[in-house]
Amino acid sequence: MAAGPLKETFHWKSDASLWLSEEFDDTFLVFFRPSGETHFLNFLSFGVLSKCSEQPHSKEKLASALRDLFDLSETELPESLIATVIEQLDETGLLTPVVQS
Amino acid sequence: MTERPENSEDTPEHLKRLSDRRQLLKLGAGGLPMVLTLKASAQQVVISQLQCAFVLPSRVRILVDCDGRAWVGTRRVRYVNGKGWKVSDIVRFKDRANYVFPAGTVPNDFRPSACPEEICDPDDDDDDDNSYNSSNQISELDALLNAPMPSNAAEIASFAVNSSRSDDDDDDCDPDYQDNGYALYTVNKNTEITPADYLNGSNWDPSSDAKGLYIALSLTYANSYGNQGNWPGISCIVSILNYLG
Repeated sequence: MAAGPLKETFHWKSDASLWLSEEFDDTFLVFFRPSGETHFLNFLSFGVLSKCSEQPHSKEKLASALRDLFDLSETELPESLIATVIEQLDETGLLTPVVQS
Repeated sequence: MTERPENSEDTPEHLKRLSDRRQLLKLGAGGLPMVLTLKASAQQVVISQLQCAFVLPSRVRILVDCDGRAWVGTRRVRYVNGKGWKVSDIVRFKDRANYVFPAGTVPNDFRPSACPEEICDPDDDDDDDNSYNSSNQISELDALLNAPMPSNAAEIASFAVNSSRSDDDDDDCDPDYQDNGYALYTVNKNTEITPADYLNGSNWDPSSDAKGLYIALSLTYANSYGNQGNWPGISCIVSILNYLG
């Protein structure tokens, strides 16, 4: 989990070797090996996780990529909601911040 | 993750999924957690509250007048093109309504678009001897809705039944049909209503359809009676209100 408040400059990554996932009708069960916990993710939070497992993404990049992926507008998928999802995934340990130099 | 398959953008399944996802995003903006952990937690109770749905056990008809009163019942009210509402049906519907809501309850969007300056109501009797006129009706209804919650919503229904006028006096105003002044909404039996569909963020946004009106009346009912009584779906509505604070 990120120490202190989330910074706008953070990029986020996920190590896909640390978790297993299974989809059930647009809901994803994700087992996170390090914590031994299973998490329910919806299409958006799993989208964030997947994108960040490909390569580190900033909040802005994630918002843009996921709007394209899911055919959503800026109003429907605001950056603030992406920030919320990042925060929640960060708390589980599924996402970790990468500080860009 | 399910992405868009090629050439599937117009399929009903894709449109339904897109609609569901947009609704989920609205709920997310309103505070719905986007990640849940599989363990007993208060958060999981919260999400079930917000995503509750209910099915109407029987058809519901809602008659609305120009002042925003609503009568909820099951009887038929006939409308004849070129003539209007059958007045006897309206009178009977009001008399036997299961629930009655006072003036001002129904949002403007649901009220009839055509409102006569003076409605010719055969129930209206100028005599003061035990007559049951509309002003008395409203004050009594206000009192009813402001009164402590009855043990059972049937009392509300019984109010509607008992309040019907007992005299059969005729007066000069007794048309068979009335062409405006009312709007009728019907929600069919077994209709599933998901109240969160009418949430925009943390604000209620009932669209102008029958289910939206049902939600609007449910909110009024919940404000007066909370989780008590037999209003179908009230526990679901109240759980969401509790969540929204």
